Amino acid sequence: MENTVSTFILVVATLLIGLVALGLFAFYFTQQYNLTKIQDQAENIANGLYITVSKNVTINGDMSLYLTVNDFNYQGSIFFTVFYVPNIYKNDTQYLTPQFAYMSNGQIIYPQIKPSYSEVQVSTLYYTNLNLLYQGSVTLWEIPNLSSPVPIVLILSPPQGYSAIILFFAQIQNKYIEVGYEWL
Amino acid sequence: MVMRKGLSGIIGILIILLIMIAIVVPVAMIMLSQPTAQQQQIENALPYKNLAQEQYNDFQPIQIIQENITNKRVIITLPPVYFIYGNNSVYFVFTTNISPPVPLIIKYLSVFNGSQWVILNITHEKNSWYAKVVNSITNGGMIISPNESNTKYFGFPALQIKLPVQPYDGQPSFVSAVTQYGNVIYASPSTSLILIFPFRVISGNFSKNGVVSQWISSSAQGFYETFSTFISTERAKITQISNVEMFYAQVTGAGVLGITLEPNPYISKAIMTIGDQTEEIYPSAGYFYLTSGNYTAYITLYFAKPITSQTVFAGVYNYTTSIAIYASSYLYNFYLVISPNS
Repeated sequence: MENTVSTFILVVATLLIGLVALGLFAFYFTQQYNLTKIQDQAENIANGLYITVSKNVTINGDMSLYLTVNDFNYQGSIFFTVFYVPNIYKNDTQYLTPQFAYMSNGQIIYPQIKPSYSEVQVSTLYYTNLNLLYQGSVTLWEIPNLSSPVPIVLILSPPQGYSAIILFFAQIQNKYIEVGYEWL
Repeated sequence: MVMRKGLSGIIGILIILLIMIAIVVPVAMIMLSQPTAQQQQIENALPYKNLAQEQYNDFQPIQIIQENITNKRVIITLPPVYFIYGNNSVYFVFTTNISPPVPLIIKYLSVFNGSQWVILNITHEKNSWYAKVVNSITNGGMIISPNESNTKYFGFPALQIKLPVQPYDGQPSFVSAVTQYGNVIYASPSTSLILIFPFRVISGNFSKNGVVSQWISSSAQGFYETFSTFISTERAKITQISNVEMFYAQVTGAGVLGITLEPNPYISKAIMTIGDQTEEIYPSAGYFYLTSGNYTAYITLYFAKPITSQTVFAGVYNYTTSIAIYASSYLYNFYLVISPNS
């Protein structure tokens, strides 16, 4: 009789341990699955992105240009930020983060952007593979709707030895994920 | 002997294992299938990107061959759409009266005003298209097709849009249009318009004026012209016709052919190419050193003043020759009637 009880306890305990393991496993898998989904979505947007940069006209040291943004896989809102990066980093994609942006008094200097887009202050940016791209305060501008190509007018005044770069981000589950960039 | 009832430990574990496999396998399958779905999305975007790239070609020249009953052929290089800035307006000129192969919708116009690019929206008011400065981005746009044309530009159906902002220095290249794919197209000056201005030779003939024994005329009816390039023209006027085939010649022996045109008020300069030699033959004579072989002579005429209406050119060749030439067209005179296409 005692033997039956102990076997029963053993089975129940095994079942419980199994369920806990399954729970943990399911939790981990859900997380992974979710991340994969975010990544896929970001890659989709990145693959559909179509950017055209207009002629760059320089008058009195200021460069004026516009670029059009369109996405063949995505119609929602998209975010962008523009800053100046030293020319020496131009050939290395790992330096394309606001970490190397031209700053004055600890603040990133942004070019003039027209027409007026709503601004968001963001503290974390991710690469498409969800690795950390930048942590720190950065301003993003929001294009609310990509349903038709949107011209962004920029007036650039890069410091000596710097070039402007524009980075595009999609907001997926509150994560700002890079979907494209363009040297200007 | 005690009969054991209920599950044994091993069977319990096996059941748990089965449950886990039943859940893990489908989940893993879903996860593994994700890259495939994503790959499909990449392929999905590809045709659009190709189409977007192709749109640029609609503004590139294409070849058109026009033929008329007298076997005259004119080859003209034209793009399907011409985007022109002039008279404080932009024009989309349809050179072939058909819509561009890749449907064209202009979403915005943009003008560099001296300090920045100004984005303009296109609106339709009182049967006329206007561009307006915008501060917010809207989802407008205009279909560019000959059916929408509201004016004629040198005889071609065209769509005119008046600009509220003029480009810096009046330069057409500071005017651009954004298409539905986000492509940026720059305007051409109206002075380049002649590039799209076709003209035709409505009749042509050589008339024989005297005979020299070395020259053997054939019974060819008229001649065959090929107009392939138009360069250096101004505002819908023809200032030059290039590389017209003038005669075929069979040369025996080696010697010199000197050739020129008689004074002609319409012509300021003429250049002839025979074989690999190119010489100016008008106003002063050009000399070609020929050896035995078959040659085709091409002529390029530069007109003294641009031609705007139907004009007859007639001229006489003067030549000296030290060799025997059998020409398959009459050599002496040329006679062209050129008419701008209206």
